[in-house]
Amino acid sequence: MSKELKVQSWRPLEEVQKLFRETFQSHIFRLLQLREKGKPVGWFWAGSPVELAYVFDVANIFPEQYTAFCAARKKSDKLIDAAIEYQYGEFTCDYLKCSVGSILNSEAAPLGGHCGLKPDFVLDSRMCCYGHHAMSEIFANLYTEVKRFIIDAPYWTKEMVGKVDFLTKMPERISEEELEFVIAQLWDLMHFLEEITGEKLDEEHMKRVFEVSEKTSRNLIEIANLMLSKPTPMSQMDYRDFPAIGFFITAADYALHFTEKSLEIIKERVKKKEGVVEEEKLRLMSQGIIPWYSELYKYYEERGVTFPLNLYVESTFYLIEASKPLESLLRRSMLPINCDIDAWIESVVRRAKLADVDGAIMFENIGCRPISFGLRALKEVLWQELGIPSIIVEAPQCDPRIMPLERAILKMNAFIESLL
Amino acid sequence: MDSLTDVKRWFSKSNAINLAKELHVKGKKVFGLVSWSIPEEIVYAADVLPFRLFGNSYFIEKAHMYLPSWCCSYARSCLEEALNERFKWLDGVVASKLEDTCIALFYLLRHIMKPKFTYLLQVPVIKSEKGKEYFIKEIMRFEKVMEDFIGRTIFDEDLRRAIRVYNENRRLLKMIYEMRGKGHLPLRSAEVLDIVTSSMLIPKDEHSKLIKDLLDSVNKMRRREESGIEEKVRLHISGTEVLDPEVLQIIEDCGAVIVSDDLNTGTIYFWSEVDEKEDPYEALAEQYLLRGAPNILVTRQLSRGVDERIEYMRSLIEEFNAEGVIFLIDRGCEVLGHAYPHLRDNLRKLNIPSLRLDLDYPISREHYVTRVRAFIEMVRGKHV
Ligand code: SF4
Ligand code: SF4
Repeated sequence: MSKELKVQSWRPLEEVQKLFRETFQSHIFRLLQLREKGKPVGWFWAGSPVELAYVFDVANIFPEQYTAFCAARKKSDKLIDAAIEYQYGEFTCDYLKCSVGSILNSEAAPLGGHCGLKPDFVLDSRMCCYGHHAMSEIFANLYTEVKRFIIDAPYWTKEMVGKVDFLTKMPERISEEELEFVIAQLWDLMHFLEEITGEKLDEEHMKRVFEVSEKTSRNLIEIANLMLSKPTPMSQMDYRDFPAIGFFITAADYALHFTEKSLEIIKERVKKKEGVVEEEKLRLMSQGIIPWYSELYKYYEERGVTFPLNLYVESTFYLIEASKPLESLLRRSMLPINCDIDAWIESVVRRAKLADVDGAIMFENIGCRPISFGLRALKEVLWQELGIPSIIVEAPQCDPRIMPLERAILKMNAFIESLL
Repeated sequence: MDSLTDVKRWFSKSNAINLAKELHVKGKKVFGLVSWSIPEEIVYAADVLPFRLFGNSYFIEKAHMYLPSWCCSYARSCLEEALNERFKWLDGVVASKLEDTCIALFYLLRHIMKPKFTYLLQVPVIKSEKGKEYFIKEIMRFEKVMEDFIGRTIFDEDLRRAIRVYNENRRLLKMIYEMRGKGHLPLRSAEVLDIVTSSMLIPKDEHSKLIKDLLDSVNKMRRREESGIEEKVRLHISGTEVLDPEVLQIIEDCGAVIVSDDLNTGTIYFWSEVDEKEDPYEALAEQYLLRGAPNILVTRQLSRGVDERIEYMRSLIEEFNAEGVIFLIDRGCEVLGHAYPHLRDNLRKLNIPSLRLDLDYPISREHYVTRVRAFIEMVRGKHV
């Protein structure tokens, strides 16, 4: 690394990490309890109406979260190999390869593969990316008994929604046809859940679930905004746990507890003007799914390069309005990758200004088209409009063999030095 | 048409592109289509030429600036054409939201070409009545935006006429396949591919005239040269956007005859007709969502898309007496990256042999020949 960047003492938020481990345990405990009660198991994707799992007391498994867990523990390579051996495309996303690999090679799969819980149903969602839809089809092929329920949302164009705040996923407007189409499907989904659980929708319970979700979601949004403070208050090695909350379990009491406590801790840091390192030398924006196996962020944070704005993590948050539960679920699909790219780029430009970043690092998640195919256009616009330089690093989110830490560092060092 | 040799000229991609450009020079508006699942009849009814965007897979240089090397060659080659300003003359670009490569390509084309008209069509992924209702509204919205652009109303009769013109073209293309299957068409499958892809580039009525001329010439030939089709192994080809005639040529050079396919640049594009008696919007939604050749991206609720696709493949294989299937797979194609193992497994269950060929450009002829010959021998052996 460059001579200018000396290693400093790195200050991750250990309490937040501990809280996250407890949250994870609470989630596993919930799953076991529900299984004991004979409740059905549903597999859910990011960006889909996951809050309904809490409304209907379904044991909720998240293949993406599970595979991120495998990768973070460096247990994903055998799973990926099993999928490729079966001739799934090598350029499909890592979540598919790991997830399917854990079914094809269950012996190599940590936690018994998806926490040992086979699905009774898969919520096939076209609310985020084509991959989810295709993977649900694959699960329905591999587990022939599984029920696959599809929910579809449009790819949101500017004409339909105008400008969108991509942190809260609040648009200027929502076109009538789309609102009607998606809400009608959400009702169908609830009827399906009634059938599969054998229980009628309990509106009071639903209200409570959404009240918890709203509080959790507000906390997450506040945390994202606090992250923009100077100095950057939290390490990305801690922040990377937050998508698990934002994407999947906002409705859980233990998620609310996690965000409340984390928020307090982060606020305190901001108040004391304490950052993840003593002396912040550079502030970078980050885009793309975090390579879960990598300690790249830690390496740079220790050298004074911090990451106040992580667009991927922010994409997993959204503002839930308990007074409008179904409309909130619909807005979940207004992820940057399911919205007009130009609208998203506009919002990134606004956010990058707020974060006052010096540059951007973008992870090209090999196999993920919605994230990777727009990166170069974003890079162009950031440079043209804000004079922010960026670097693109090839990094599948779960396969450490493609981007060993040393190679990534080598590639990034020259870029970082050019910013100093 | 003077002779059969003219076929190659008339249906060649370069000829079709020139024809479209000539029409544009004369004042006709032309829209580039990124996806194959767009109800083109609406565009045609507006007196705009739907022009499917194709590139040339062999020469990718500039597209690397925007798309990684693992992207499918269809998207990369289209983008390359755009960056070389070969699509600059187009008035608009239209895509469907069904899959992510096409969406990304659509936005990149918009970013680079800045065309006057762009539209991302919301094709639902669920085959259902609700999906259909929504899709009818979406088709109407598309029509309205088109009307604003061209500055005139598209009447029901315009649309009905477009449907008739498209259906006629579908029937003629089907006839070409049927004649080829019976050994009555003295054309190689590479040339048949040109016939289908050119139909995506020039006005359908003109294309239909060309096919009729072709069929006339074929019928006038008192006796065709012996095609030797009886001795050849009959194959079905499966894949997505296959554009390169050379691959088909290689397969047929190895002693096979291609009799059917489920390619986006083949039967998936034209196999079934739009109902002319129904309300045109309803009929288009039915066709493109529910009834047409099964789109692997669109599924019925609580069912599997692969089952429908396999049934479609099986029925073609039976109709055309195909003895085996060759999958032509672009390694960057996300759709097949997911679907291939299940298509393969289901064919196995039906006892239909299949071979996977990865489409890597530039094509390694020797490698293909070895594998295809071995496959053909294996298929032949099955019947001994
Ligand atoms: S990584 Fe990309 S392709 Fe894979 S599930 Fe996520 S958004 Fe979809
Ligand atoms: S279907 Fe496959 S080949 Fe066609 S555009 Fe999509 S990814 Fe590319």
